[in-house]
Amino acid sequence: MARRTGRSAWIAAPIRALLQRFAFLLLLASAVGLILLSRIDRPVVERTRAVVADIFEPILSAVAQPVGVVNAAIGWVDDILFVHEENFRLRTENARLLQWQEVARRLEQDNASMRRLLSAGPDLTNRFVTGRVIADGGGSFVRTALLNIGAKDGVKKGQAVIGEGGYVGRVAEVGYRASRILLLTDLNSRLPVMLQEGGHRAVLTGDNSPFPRLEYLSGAAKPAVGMHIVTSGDGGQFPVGIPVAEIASIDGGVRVRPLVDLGRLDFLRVMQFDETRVDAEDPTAVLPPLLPQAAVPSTAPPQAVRPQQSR
Amino acid sequence: MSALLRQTNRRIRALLPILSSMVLVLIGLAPVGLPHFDNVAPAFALMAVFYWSIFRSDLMTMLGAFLIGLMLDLLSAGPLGLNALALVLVHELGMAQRKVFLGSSFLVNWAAFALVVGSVLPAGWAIVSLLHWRLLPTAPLLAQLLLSLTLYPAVYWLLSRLERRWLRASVAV
Repeated sequence: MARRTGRSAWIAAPIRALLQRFAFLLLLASAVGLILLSRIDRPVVERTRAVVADIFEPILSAVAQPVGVVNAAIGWVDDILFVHEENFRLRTENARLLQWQEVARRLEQDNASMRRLLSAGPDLTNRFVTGRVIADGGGSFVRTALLNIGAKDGVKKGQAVIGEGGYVGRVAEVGYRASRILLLTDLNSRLPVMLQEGGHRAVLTGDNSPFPRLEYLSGAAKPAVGMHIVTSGDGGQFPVGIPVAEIASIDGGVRVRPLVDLGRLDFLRVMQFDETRVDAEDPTAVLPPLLPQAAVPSTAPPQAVRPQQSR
Repeated sequence: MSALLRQTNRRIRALLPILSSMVLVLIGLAPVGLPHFDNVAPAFALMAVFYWSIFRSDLMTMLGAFLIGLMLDLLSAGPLGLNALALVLVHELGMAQRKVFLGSSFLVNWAAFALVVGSVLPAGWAIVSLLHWRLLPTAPLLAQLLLSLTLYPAVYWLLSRLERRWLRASVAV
């Protein structure tokens, strides 16, 4: 207490107390004012946040580094413990996938030849830019993540963000070297999706719980647990068919489980989808052709080819 | 010259409460992949401001608490100003009761922290629910409460070490 009296000897205690009160009320009012401002003028707040994120990006990256190591160590111990099971699982999966690879190659050839017959344009191609999660939402009210890539890497607001296994969220704020991702579980997230089987459209609505709700699903659709949900591409910002989630429960509203573990995000890819850009390269060159001599199969009558639906 | 050095040294040390709180804010933002704690961070800033407003309220000013909250608000994605509001209130609560806490044991301090965190976090939840006009899920709130309560002793220990090491020779600004 001694250091206080020395400093404030020239101010009478009551006045000092009054000033303290005033400062308290002023700061309270400023905080409330800011809360209201962030509701009214989102762009200003977003821009300020982007600037602050840019400034702190190096520090946050540095802090995230050891955290990444710790997470990796936890994962490593996990891997060692389950190495035998994992090995067995991978062997069976590998066998299954090899069969699928055959199927994919055949279908790819078929697809290419049918496209040639229809003289359809090549697929829209996507470019990716990979970033690392350096911070999360920092509270229990939001589901977001901060990535260490921004405008300098070509990230734009609204682009889709893909994790290991599927859709994670979209870019909500972009700074020069950092950007914020709104995860699909966030309260503000609305994602146009469709059921993979049947293609019935719906909107995936986040509510901060781990299981977002599937809303506005047409009555004709018959959702079942385990069904897969993919992006529908409505709105033009995302391509069609990015895997998103699988249906987790259907009683009392349809809820889905995201395919990506949103609690453990590390490296994410931002999809730079541009509907107007068509890549000149051969779109069929996704897999190396097994049978280069296989030209247009004669077993593909043109009338059997369904014209591609316009999107 | 040495007087100037000593002066500078004192000034830097006097910033310790605010700087340590800011470091805790940054650590709290780190993307820790704890299973079942999907994006829930312990309220590190709240712990630090509570600690310093009791033990060094001369160095953790109300404006300092406000700025730490603002920093957290800008770096996280919730409503801007919410953490600033919470920390100003925590500072006020700590200041008002500091005479009680100064002589008491750690357990009393922990209980007091439980009361503060148990009222400020639900209040924040209520404000955000009101802003969105719907009841937000309470599970993350409870997780954050429990996580903060569990980690408080560690933060308390760390900050009291810092205080003893760097602020023992009572720093006057």
